[in-house]
Amino acid sequence: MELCDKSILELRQMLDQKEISSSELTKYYLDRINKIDGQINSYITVCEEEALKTAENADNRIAKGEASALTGIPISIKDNMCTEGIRTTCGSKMLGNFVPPYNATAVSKLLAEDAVILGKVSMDEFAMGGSTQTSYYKKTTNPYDKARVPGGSSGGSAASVAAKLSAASLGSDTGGSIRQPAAFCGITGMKPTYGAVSRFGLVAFASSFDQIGPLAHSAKDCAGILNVISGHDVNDGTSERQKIDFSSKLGKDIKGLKLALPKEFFGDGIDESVKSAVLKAAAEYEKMGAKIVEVSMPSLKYAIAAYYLIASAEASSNLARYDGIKFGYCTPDAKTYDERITRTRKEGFGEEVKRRILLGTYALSSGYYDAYYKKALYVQQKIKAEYKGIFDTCDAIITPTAPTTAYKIGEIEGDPVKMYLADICTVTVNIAGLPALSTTCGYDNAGMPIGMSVVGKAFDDATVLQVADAFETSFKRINPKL
Amino acid sequence: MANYIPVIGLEIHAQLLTNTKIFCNCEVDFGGEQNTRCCPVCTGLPGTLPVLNSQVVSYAIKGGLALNCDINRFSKIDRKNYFYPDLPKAYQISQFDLPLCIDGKVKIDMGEEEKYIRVHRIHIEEDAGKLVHDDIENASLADYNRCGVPLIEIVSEPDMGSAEEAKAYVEKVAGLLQYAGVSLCRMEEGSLRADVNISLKRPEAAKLGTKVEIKNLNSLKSIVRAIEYEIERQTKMLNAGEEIIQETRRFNDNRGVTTSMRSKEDAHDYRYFKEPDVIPVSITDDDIEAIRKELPMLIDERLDLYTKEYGLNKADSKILVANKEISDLYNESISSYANYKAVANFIVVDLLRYVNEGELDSKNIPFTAAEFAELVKMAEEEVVNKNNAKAILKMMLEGKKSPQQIAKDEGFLMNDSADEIEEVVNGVVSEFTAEVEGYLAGKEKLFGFLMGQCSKRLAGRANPKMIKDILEQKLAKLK
Amino acid sequence: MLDTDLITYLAKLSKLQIDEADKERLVSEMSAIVELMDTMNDVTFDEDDNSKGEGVSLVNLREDKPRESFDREKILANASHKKDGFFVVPKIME
Ligand SMILES: [Mg+2]
Ligand SMILES: [Zn+2]
Repeated sequence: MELCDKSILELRQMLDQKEISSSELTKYYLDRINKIDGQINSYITVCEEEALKTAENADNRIAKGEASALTGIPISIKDNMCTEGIRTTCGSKMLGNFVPPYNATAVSKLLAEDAVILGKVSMDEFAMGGSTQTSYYKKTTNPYDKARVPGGSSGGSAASVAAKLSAASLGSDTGGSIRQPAAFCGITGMKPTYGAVSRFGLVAFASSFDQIGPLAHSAKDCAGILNVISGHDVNDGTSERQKIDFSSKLGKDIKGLKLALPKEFFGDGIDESVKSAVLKAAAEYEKMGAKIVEVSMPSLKYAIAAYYLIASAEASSNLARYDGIKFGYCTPDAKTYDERITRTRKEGFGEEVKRRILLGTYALSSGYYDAYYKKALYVQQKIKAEYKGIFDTCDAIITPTAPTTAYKIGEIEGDPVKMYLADICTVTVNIAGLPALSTTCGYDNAGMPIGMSVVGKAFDDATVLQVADAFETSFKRINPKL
Repeated sequence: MANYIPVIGLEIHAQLLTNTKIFCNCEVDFGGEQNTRCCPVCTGLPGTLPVLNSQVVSYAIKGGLALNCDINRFSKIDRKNYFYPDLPKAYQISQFDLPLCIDGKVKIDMGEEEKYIRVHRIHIEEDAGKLVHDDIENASLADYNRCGVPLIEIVSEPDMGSAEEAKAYVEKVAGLLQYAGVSLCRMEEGSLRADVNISLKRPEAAKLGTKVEIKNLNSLKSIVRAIEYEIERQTKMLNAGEEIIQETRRFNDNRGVTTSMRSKEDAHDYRYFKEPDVIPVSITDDDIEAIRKELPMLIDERLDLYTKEYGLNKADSKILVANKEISDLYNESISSYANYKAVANFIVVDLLRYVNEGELDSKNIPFTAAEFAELVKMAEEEVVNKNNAKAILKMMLEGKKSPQQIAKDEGFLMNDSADEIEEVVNGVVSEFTAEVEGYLAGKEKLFGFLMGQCSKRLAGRANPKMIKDILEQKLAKLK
Repeated sequence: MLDTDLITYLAKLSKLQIDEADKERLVSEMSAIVELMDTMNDVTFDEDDNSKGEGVSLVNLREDKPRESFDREKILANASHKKDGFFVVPKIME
C-alpha cells in the first residue's frame, strides 16, 4: 500500500508514531502534484512555501505531543474559500487578482490545527456548474478517464483526492457540488446540515444553500474533518449553535435502521447501471439488518425549477458586488461609471454565470416575482414537508447521487438545460438544508464510479456517516490509473 | 386661481446610537479619515457575511414604542438591489414587508389645535457610503466609513398639510427619539435626514394627486423651504393646466429650488427579496416589555403633568420638555423642592440662558438637581436675594460647591440679625441728616433714598422688609 | 414571452453589457431555461403566509462591542483605482 492510499486516521497514526514527518508527507504530496497534476489539472494555485512552513509547525507540535486530528495532514481547498494572503479566484477571471485579507472560518480552523494546505483547487466559475469546465483557469478532468469531466463544481477537490494529490479536500455544495463530483471521481463527499459549518469566507453563490464540506477517501475521514471545521461562528449569523458530533455513530450496528428509497429517484431519467448499483447497495444494507422502505416524493418534479430560481435569484444579488471598484477584475479605460461596471461584468464573468445572473434577475424583477421566486419558495416548503414526512418513520434515505456516471467532456456542458436537469438527485437536499453524503457503490461498464447518496434529518449527520461507513467497510474501491 | 391642499408624507432616516455598525464590529463615529472605519464586511468583500447587531433591533423597537407603534413579533430582513458606487455590495440590507414597527402615531402641536400624524412603519437598514467629487481628475471618490451605520427609516402616512406641520412632525419625532435615547438626531451631522413626498389635490377631490419625492433634506430649514417651493411650483403647474410628473427631485440649498433627479420611467426595480444571510428576528412580549420599561416618561406625558398637575403654563412647559436633560433636571429638582412654578421659572429664565447661549451643555450639568433645588429654595425663602441667587448659579456652573457654601463664602446670606440692620440704619440716619429732616418735614419720597442707602451698605444680605420696618421705626421715633 | 427587449431590460438591471449580436442567442438560451422553470406552472398556492416563522431571538444576535477596523491599506489593497485613501470611480453625474 502506498503512502497516498492511506486514510487520514492511518496518516495520523504514522505521524504521531514518527514513522514519517509532516514535512516529508507534504513534500511527498507536492512532488505528486508536480508529477501528476498535469494530467488532471486540479490545482489552480499550489502553496508550496506555505505548506512546508505549516508542516514544520505541525512537526514541532507533534514532537511536543500536542497534535490534534488534522495536524500535519495535507489537504486541498476549493478556490472559493478565502485564504489570507493567497489568491482566491473562485474559478473566475473576475477574481484573478483577488488576495483576501482574511481566512474563511473553515480554513482558520484547519490552520489552527496546523493542517497543511497544499493549495487551491479548481472549480466551476463561482461554483455554477457540474463539470468544472466553466473554470477560467483549470478545466479539471476525471482521474478515471481524462476524456471525462470530474463533476463539479468541486471538481478540483474531487479529482485531487481521487488522484491522491491531497489526503482530503474542502469543497462547497450548493446543489450537489460536493456529492456529484465525489460520485464521478469515486470518493466520499459530504454536505453537512445547513449551518453546521460557517460560511464566513466562502465566496457566496446562493447563500441559503451554500455549505462547506469534506471530500475524502472515506466517511470516517469526512467525519474527522467535519468535527474540526464545524461549529457556531460569530462571523456567520446563520451558523448553528447546536454542536454536532459527526463521528458519534461510526461503527455502530445499522441493524433495525429504516432506510427509505423514494421511488421518484429511480425513474426514467436515471441510467440503468446507476439504478442497479444503488439497488444492489440497498440489498447489502438489508443483509446487514436494515429495513428498506419505498417512499414517495411527489414534489421532486418541481425541484430543479425551484432550486435554479432561488439559487439564481440569490446569485444575481450576491454577484452584484463585482463592479471593478473594490476588488477583482476592472475593465481598462472606461470613461463613465456605467461603462466601467457593465464592461467589467461583461468581460469578467463567463457565459454560465451571466445566464444565472439574468435568470435570477428575471425571477426577482417586478412582474415576474410571484410567478417565479415566490412560487419557488413555496415549492421549497413543500419539499421540506415531504422530507419531514419521510423522516417521521425512516432514519435515512438512499438515492443515486447523479443520473449518470461521469460524462465525456463536451457532451452536455454546452446545453444549460441538460446540465440543470442532471442535478435532479442532489438539489432537494440543499433546498431542505439536510445532511447528505455520496459514497461509491459500484462501477459502470466503462469502469466509471457510481455514486450513492445517504440523506439524513437535519443535525443527524452522524447517522448519515454511520450508514455510509457501514457500506464502505465492506465495499472494495478501485483506484484510478494515473 | 384654483385652491389646492398639499398632502405631505415624510420618510425620516435616523441614525441609531449604537457603538458598532449594524452588521459588523466597526465603530460608529462621526467624522474620521476616509475608509478608516471599515472592514471586509462593511466594504462587501467576497465571502463576508452580515451579522445583525442586537442593539440595533432593541433601539429600533424602543424608538417604535416612543412613536406609539406596534411591534411585529416576527420581522424579516431583506435586500434592496441597486448599483451605485457608494453601496459596496450593490444591495442595501433593509426591510421590506415585515418591518420591526408598524402603525404608530405622533402628536404635533400647531398652536391652537393638536394633530396626530400616523406612522406607517419603522424599519432598520444600513447606511451607504459617501462620494466626494473630484472635478480635476473627473472622478468620484468613495469613502465607506458610513457604510453599515445603523439607521431606522420612519415612514409617515401622508397626513401633513403644510411645511409647518412637517417641521413640527420632524421636531417631535426627533424629540421622542432623543427622549428614548436611541438617536442623537443631529441633522448637521447627518444623523437625521428626511425625504419628503408631496402632492396637491383639490379640496373636493377624493383621489390624491401625483406625488413628487424630494430626497435627502438635511436641515429643518431646507425641509420647510423645499416644501414651500414645491407647493408653489406644483400649484403654478396645475393652474397652467400642466400635468405633474411622478419623479424624484433634489433640493438645491443655495438656489432654494427643487430640480429633477429621475422620473418614474427609469425608476428602479429594486428586486427586494429575503436576505438569506440574516435570519429573521423573533421578538417576544417579554422583550417588548423589558424595552418599554427602559423608556423614560415621554414628551406628551410630561407636558400633561406640568400643565395639569403642576399648574405650569403651556409656554413654560414646552420650553422645559424641549430638552430632555432639562426636563429631567426639573423633575428631579421638584422632588426635593416641590415649588413647581419657582423651579420652572428659575430654569426657564436663568438656567436656559446659559444653554441657549452655548455656555452650558445640557448633557453635562456640573451640579446635581438637589443642589439646584436648594438654590431655588434659598432664593424663594429669601435666604439670599434674587440677584445673588443668579450670581450663585453662575458660580455653580463654574464648578463651585454647593449653593449654601457659596452664599456663605461670598457673604450673600441674608442677615436676619436686627442688631446689624439697626446699626446700619443708625449710621445712615446720622450721616444723611438733611434727607432725614426733609423726610420728617413731609417729603415722603426721601424714604426711598434712605432705604437705598441702607440696602447698599447691607450689600443685599438683609431682607428688605426687615430694613424697611427698622428704618420706619427709627424715623418714627425721630418725629 | 422572452424577447430581446426583456434581455436588454434584465441586462440593464444587472449591469451586464450585452452585445446586440449576442441578444438573439441569449433569447433562445434563456427561453429554454425559462421553459424548464415553467414546470412549476401547475403548482398552486394553498396557503401562503410568510408573516410567521421561527426567527432568531434578541439574545442570540451580535453583541454591540466594537472591534478594531482594518488598516486602510488592507481595505484598499484589492482595488484597481485608488487615491488618497479613497476608492476611485469615473465621475458620477447626478
Ligand atoms: Mg431606506
Ligand atoms: Zn466593518
